[in-house]
Amino acid sequence: MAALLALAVFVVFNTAVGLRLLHTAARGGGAAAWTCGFGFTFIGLLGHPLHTLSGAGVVPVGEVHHALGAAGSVFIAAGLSAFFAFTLIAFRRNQVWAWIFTGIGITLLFATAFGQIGALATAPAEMPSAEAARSWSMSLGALSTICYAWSGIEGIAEWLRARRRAALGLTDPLTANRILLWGLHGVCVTVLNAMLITLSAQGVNMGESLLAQAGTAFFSLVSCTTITLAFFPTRAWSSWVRRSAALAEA
Amino acid sequence: MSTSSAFEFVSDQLEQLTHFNRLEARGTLRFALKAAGLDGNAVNAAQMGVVVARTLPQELESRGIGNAAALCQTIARGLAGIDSGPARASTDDVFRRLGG
Repeated sequence: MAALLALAVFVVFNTAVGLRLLHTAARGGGAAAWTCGFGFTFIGLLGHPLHTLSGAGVVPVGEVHHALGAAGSVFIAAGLSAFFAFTLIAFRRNQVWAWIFTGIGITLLFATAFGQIGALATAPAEMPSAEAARSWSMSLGALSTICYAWSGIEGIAEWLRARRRAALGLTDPLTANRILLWGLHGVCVTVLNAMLITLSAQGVNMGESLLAQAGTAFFSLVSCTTITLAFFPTRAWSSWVRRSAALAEA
Repeated sequence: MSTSSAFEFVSDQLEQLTHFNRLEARGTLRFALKAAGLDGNAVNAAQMGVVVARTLPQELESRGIGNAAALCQTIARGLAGIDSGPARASTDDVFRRLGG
């Protein structure tokens, strides 16, 4: 129940943030806004809901709605690809290794998504779907972890530099804070992914595991809070960030 | 990766106005940039002006340059005429624009 509620919160917040960023992109927000907006929208509005509705991972293969499951897998891969591209554009656009890393990441994501689709399509009808696609799901989880870990590491590292720039008046404290929140979002989702992969590898039933339910609920809520404050900052939050920066400078 | 014209100008000035060799001048400037959260590849003239005024003097003093403040003022005056070239989108620009 807690995990379902967390999924609902995840869908609502990711969709809202994604659509907001796409709106920003359409008004000249640039490639970063497009990639980040598509990342949240593909994963939050389409990928996870379609995958959950298909029954994949829960019901036997014969009862899975394969078209919905396939669409869900492809949208999740597309969303994660968009986040790979965002990290590249925002933090490492001039580094060749980052372009190669992003290219490899995106290729592996789509290969894994189609592997997952193929495994479900060819498995016996009575086989549990979670079992049929386990290795592909684990691979997708690992790639997702790498994607968010890269994003989180870059975000936190850049924030450490941005707060020095902010102290010298070279950047706006709110922008520095947005970079921090982005980094925290990446760290949160990385920890959540790593926890779920570890539990899954141990054969734990996610629906019955208190740790999985509580962890999913906690980290989903924290990650939703960070992206909401980053991209929908309230007036009170903005004032607090600016006041804190001014106090730190004094 | 190539450094910016502002970086090249200030490091050349440090080399000419102090006893630093090229490596020492560039290294000292990189420390000053790091203290300001910037790097030599993307720093523009305006940002470099702040570095020269705020963090470079301390770096010079800690390396035994006595007239650091006056020296930095001289460099800052010359920096005013430096063309940074076309602006490159920084991480700050990206995240500022994401705020809508």
